[in-house]
Amino acid sequence: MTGRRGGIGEDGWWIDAFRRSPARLGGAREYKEWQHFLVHARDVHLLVNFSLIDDTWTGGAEVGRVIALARREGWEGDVERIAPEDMDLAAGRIDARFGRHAMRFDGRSYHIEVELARRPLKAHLRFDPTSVPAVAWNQPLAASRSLSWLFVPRLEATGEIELRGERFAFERAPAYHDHNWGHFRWGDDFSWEWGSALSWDPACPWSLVYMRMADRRRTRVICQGLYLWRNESHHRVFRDRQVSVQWQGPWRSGRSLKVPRVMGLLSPGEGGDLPNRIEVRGVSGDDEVTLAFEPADAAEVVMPSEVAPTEIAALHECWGRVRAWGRVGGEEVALDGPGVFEFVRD
Amino acid sequence: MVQGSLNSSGIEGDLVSLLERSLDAIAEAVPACHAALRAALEGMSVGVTMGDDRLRATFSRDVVHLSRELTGADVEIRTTRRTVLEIVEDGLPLDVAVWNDAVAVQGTLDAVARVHEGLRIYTHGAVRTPKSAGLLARFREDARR
Repeated sequence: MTGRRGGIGEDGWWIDAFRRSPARLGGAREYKEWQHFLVHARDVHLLVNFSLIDDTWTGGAEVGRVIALARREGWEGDVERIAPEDMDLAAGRIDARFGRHAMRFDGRSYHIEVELARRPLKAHLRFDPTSVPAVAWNQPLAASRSLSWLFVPRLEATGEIELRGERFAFERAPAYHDHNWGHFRWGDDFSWEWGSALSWDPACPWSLVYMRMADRRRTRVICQGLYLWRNESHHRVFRDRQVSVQWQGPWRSGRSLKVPRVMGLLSPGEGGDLPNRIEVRGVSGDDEVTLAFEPADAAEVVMPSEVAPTEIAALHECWGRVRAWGRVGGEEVALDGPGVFEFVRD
Repeated sequence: MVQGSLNSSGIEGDLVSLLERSLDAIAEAVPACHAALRAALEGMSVGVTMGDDRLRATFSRDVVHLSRELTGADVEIRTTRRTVLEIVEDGLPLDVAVWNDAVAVQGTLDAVARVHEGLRIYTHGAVRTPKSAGLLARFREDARR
């Protein structure tokens, strides 16, 4: 047991509450918001995402979406669309029901319940934060577009995942959580790279998050950052010109799971333009940290573009090994563990 | 937008009825996709056989004409409802289905390439159309019969 305490706590819970679309009240449209969780158990990995979307194809009505992806000797999972009448949530509250799925916050821990209707995947999990969150509001994404986020880089997940009839129970598995919200369309002139890095060793004090926002063709970086936590606390942030990124590639991922599966017709073949190694280096004064990620596997969430009627946008969820090394404040930084890097591509 | 040659005993779940409703729904929800589909396949006829069910879709600049007569199709496709569901719901790659003869395609290379592009545009329209879920559910029901 690490003994760390983190998270938003009983007094700060409001910061991670759902905002919901202002379009419901006559405000700006094209709103998107999601609560995102990653779990790295030794035998199985899980991604769960609860989303709210102003649906372009139904006149902008707010609909829900739940993504659940599990990785063990291959991938399983799906995207489920949740009709407004099947959701129970409120602005200013974390607790939410999305059809058969639910998330809630008890003042200390997050709880999620997921059960896919058409695929053999269920999860009942508790997430105990062991790091304080970072919050950033209205970060530039594209022209007249911005994105806000909160991330809790390190949590411990306890519970059970049932995958293809096989049950995996675990305690205090490394986990990650973030919450994003903003107004944009899939297909707007942006792309992003977002990575989380955790250690398999519960005694390791380090965790990291990397983000880079760029234009759609990735010719211009809009903002970038490398965030280092030491135990439960923010420790060092490297931003923009303090960060350099190197790629090796391309990575031949082979056929990956694409969800919803019908979108495989629109995004056939291998994942496009992904690195087989990415190194992110943050340097400022005497402080220097390098984060390296090598993907082993990927699944793809494919969405119809909201800008062009015969194009798509894809989130490549890449799972693999992360290592970090460096020195901050005279102290050595070292990390080796599981990571997930998300790449937005056409 | 769609002219259907349905006889008085046309069954709602048959291929022609389902495709007619699907194309009408796409024309309503995503007119740009419907226009792109007609443009991509203008002047062509595509025949589809699924078990005992068959249709021919003939594309002009302004309309799509559906009938149950297969003769005269530029490209003929033969498959089953089960295979279509495996592609749409189970992630069976289309190229694998073709290689395994679960989808048989006959036509000139150029015509087949145009039909493939038409399928891509049709899918773009369908995934953006709210009514597609209900039509797919009906298609799935009839696959179980």
